[in-house]
Amino acid sequence: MNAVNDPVPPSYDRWRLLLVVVGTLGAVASVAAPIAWMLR
Amino acid sequence: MNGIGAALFLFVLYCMYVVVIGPLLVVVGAVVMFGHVVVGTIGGLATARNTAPSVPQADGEDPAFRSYFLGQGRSDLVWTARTIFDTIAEVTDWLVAAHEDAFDESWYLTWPLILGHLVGALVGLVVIGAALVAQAIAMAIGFVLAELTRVALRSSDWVLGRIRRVRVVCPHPGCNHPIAYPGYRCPQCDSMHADVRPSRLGIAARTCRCGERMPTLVLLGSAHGKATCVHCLRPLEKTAGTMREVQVPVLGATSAGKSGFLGATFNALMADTGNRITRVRAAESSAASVQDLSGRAAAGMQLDPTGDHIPAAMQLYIEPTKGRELAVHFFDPAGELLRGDEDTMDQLGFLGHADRFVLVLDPLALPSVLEQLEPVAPDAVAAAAPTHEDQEQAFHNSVQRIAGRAKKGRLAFIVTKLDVLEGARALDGLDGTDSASVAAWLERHELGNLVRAARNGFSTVRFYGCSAVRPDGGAGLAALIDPVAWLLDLQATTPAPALAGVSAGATP
Repeated sequence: MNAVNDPVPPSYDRWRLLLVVVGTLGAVASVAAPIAWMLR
Repeated sequence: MNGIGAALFLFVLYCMYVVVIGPLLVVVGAVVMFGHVVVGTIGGLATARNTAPSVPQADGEDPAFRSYFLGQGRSDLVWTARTIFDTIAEVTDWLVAAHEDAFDESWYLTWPLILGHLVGALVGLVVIGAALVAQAIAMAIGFVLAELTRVALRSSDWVLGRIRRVRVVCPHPGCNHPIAYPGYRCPQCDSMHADVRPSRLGIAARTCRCGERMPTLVLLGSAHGKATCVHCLRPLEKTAGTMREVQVPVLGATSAGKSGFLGATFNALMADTGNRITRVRAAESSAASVQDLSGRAAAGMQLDPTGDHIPAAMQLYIEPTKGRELAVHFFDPAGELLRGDEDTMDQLGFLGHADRFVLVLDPLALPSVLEQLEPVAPDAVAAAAPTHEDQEQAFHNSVQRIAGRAKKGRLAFIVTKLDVLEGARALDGLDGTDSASVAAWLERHELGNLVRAARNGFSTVRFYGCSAVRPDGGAGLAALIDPVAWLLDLQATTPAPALAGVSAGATP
C-alpha cells in the first residue's frame, strides 16, 4: 500500500517541527561557534 | 617609455581592483552563494515537509502509522539529506555553468567572484550540514528514548500480566486458541489490529491509518476497545487480557447430568456469596445461555440433551473475597462429542488448553444402584433419565484427548443426582462433602478402576457428591460450590461456618 496520500498523524507535524528547530539551532551554532572562537 | 607607463598604469589599476573591488566581489559572491544554498535547502525542506511520504504499510503489518522515531523519522531524515544533496548538485551545476568560460578569457578579473562563490557555497554547506547533523543527533536520541520506553512498557505489561496470572483463550467454538494478547478493532474504521502492543507502530498509542488513536496496552486503556480473537476474528469480552482466565470443561457421558450440574452450580454461585465469593456475574456474551441454563435448573425442568454442536464457553466473572476477580469459561460439550472422531475432537480445542476439569458421573446408571433403586422408586429413576452410555469408556475417551494437560490438571469428580438416592439403601453412607467417602462408595459400586484411572490420569483429584435438583439450603449450595471453589483456589477469608454435613472434601 503506497501511503503517500494517506493522512499524516498530527504527531508527525509536531516532531518534524521539533527537528526543524533543532536543525536551525545546529545551523546557528555552526556559524556562531567559529565566530565566538575567533572573538575570544 | 609610453608602453612601460601604460603597463605600470594598468598594474596600479589592477592592484586597486584587487585591493578595493576584489574583496567586495568575494563578499558579494559569498553572500549570494551562501543565501542560494541555505534558502534553496530550506525551500526544498519546506516543500518536503508537506510532501514527505509516510512510511508505507508493510505486508502483514497492522494498518497503523509508524511511530515517528521508530520509522517515519528515519525516512524524513533520508528525505532531508536527499533534499540537501539535490541542492548541492544544483549549486554545483550553477557554478560550473556560470564560470566554465571564466578561466579562458577574463579569469584575472572574475576570480574574486569565483572565490566568493566557492567560499559562500562552502560555508552554506557547512551550515546546512550542521543542521542535518543536529537533526540526526536529535533523531538518534529520540530513537533510543522511544526504544527504551517501548521495552519498559512491554516489560511492565508482561510483569503485571504474570502477577495477575493473565491468560487469554478464545471462548468461541471451533477456535479456543490461546492468545498472547488480544487484538483490537479500530473504533472508527473497524480495521483489525492484531498486535497493538508497543512496537514501531506506536509506543504509548498508535494511529490507525484512518487517523484514530488507539492505546497500545491494557495498562494504558486498550481494554476499552473492541477486543478480538486474533485467530478467528470474533469478538472477545472487554476484560480479555485484564484478568486471569480459567477454562473448566465439564466431562461425562451423554445424559450424565452435566448441564444440570452446571445450571445448578451457576445458581448456587450467584445465590451464595458466602465467605469465599464476593460477587458472581455472567459475561455479556454468555448472559443469555447462563440465564437459560440456570433458569431451567432452578425450575427443576428436565434439560434437553445438549446438542452435538461445538459448545461456546459460558463465561462467569467470579470475584473472590480473597484475590482478584477472574473469568471462568465453563464448557459443556455433549457426551456424543467426547466419543467423536479425530476431526470432532480437534474442534474441542478447549480440552487442550484447560487444566481444571469436572467429570460428572451418573450413579443411576450403575447396575448395583439400579438394582436397589428401581424396585422401590421406578418413577424417580425414570424421571432422572439415567445415562445409557458406558461412563468408564466415556471417561477414558476424554482423558485420552487431554492426556498431556490432565497430568498437570485438577479433576473434580462429581457424583450427581444424589437427590434420587436420598433415603435409599443405595446411598449407603455416601457423604458428598467427603472426598474419601465418595471414592470409597464408587469402589463399592465396581468403579474402582475408574477411581484409580482418575487418580493416575490427573495431578490432583477430589471426589464430590451433590444434587442439581433442590439444592436449597446451605449444605446443598455448598455441595455445588465446593468443587468450583476447589478448582479455582477460592480461599475463605474466615473459617467456613459449621453447616450440618458440610466439610471440605479431603484429598484422597
